[in-house]
Amino acid sequence: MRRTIVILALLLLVLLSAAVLRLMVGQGWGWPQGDKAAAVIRVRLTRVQLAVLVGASLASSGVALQALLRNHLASPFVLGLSSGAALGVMGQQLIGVYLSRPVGEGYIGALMGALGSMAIVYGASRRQKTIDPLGLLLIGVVMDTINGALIMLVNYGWGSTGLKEDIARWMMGYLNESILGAALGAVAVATCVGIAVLLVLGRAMDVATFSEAEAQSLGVNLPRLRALLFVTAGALAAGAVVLAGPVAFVGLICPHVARLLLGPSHRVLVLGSAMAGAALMLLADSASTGLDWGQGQLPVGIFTAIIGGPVFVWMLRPQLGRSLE
Amino acid sequence: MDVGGWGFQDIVPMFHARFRSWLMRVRLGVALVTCWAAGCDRGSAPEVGAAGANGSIRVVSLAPALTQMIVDLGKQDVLVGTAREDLAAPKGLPVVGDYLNIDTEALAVLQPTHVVMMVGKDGVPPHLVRLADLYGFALVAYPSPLSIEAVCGILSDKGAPGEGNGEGTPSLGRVLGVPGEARTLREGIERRLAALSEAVAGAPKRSVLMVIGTHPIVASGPGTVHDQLLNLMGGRNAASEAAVGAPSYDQERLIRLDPEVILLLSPGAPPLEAVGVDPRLSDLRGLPIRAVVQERIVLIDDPLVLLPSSSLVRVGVAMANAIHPELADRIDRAAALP
Repeated sequence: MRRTIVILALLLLVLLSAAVLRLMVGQGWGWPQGDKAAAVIRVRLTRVQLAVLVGASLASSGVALQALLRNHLASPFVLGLSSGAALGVMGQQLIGVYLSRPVGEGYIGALMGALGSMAIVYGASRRQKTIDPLGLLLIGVVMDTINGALIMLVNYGWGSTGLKEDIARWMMGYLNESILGAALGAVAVATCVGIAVLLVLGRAMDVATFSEAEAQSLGVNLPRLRALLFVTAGALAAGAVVLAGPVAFVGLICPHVARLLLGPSHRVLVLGSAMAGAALMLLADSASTGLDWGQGQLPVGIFTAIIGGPVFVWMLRPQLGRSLE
Repeated sequence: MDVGGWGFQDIVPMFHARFRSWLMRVRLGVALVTCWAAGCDRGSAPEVGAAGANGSIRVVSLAPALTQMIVDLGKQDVLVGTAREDLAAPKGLPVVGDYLNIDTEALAVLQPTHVVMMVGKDGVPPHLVRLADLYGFALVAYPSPLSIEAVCGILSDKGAPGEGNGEGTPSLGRVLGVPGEARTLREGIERRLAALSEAVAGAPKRSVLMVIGTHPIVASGPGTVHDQLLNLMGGRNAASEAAVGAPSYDQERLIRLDPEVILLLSPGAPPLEAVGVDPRLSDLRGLPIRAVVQERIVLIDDPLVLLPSSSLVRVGVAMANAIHPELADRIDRAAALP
């Protein structure tokens, strides 16, 4: 228990350090000076909020999906939730164009898209009331590809600039710093509620890692738990997509990092993952802002993949080849 | 890591097997197409400037900027096809895709004698060269112009008609058989741009951000036709230090740039609303930059605003009026020159 508290405290320290780093990085290193310092700090604080919310949402969504599907390779990106949410955002935008009036920031569309994709992946990979882990991943990858294709199709069919002007950049993930305060607040509330739900369900998620018979004999209502995890994971992923588009790797590697550090207990895993996810997003955003080659801002998703990918391979290495032994 | 009894070693061979099968089908398809193409004698591409069998030329334009030049030269009757989203094209013309994604069938049906296009650093895509050989049309490719001189060079020869434009490709005027008209058009553009530049010469150079994309804010950077036009019209490109032609800006960078005027170059866009309301300006909302505070954000919605074409004078007039509204009379007089 003491070790757990120490590690959580260390993760919090890493998160705070990453936030301070992000506040120091901009057009040049250091604290903003001059008559526009207050405005610059306000912009950087907005980005810190965005990065923390996106990272925490994706990472805790990853924990929920891995518990729901009993598969450690599950994540919102791999299973097509993120791209489903992105498709939902595009769909909502398209409706707005047809109705010729604004239809909000896309949260409803994102939620519907994420849950729709998840339902298809979940349903298609179920055989005789069990989920085939490999089938689940493959169907998730296929779903992700289909969603990506539909997004491009919708965009391509919408004039020279498309429904979204810079679709390639958005699909790589970039923090939407112009989002309205009310929308940011709504996503923040949804993220906090989602994480709180996962914390409450932590014990049940622990038990759900046993076989179905064992879980039910220990008093866990598996259908109810699955439904709750399903909706919560979808809502968390949808919130992240509204703020930053589909961002890769955060929902996959942060639960792994947290599991390595904190063990399998889901309550601490949710907390640890959320902090690790927020820290990863802050570091990625610092890199995307600080590396200025004169081309302007870079998508943050580039750096979550560059930072996250090697970490994941490094973590995976000890596991590779075990089944050959 | 337990993935339910399956490991990567199970997945990889399966993918390999499917990939090999797919690859084999693709190779077979390519081989069949190659055999068919080799067996067909469709003739070779004609010389640039050559006309069709009945002496007429049939032009497909893959660049809206070139379409506009053709229209301004009064030769729209030779156009038989255009690229996707060509706002300069006369209504009702068949569309053949664009130079990277050409609709081969649509192009073949049109039986063009010439396909005119603008190309980037990579030059003419090889598939278009193959299509030109196959269907016997002339490819006329101009490098995408990075200066007003280059735009004028596409239109008409630099020296006397027939001397070429220095790029190794005949001018559009010569391709269309109207070198005299092209030369007149070119001289008119040069004369009116010079007059516009003269009209704003005494005014202070204002820092201007030319926005060509809004989510995120993407600007027209240095080394572009619009950059040069802006300088002529009495502005200074706020994005002049960018390393690329179309840099993107987050809010912190926008605060640092602090432009006095923002020009939103958006073809056919609806009128602008206030910064706090218009979704296109959401990235600028609440920023302490001069253009926002002083409400000097101007939309240039000319359908041809982004084209490096013969429409440059129109765009220049709109730019000069937006940057120096106090000189409107002088600007209008300069624009009214023949």
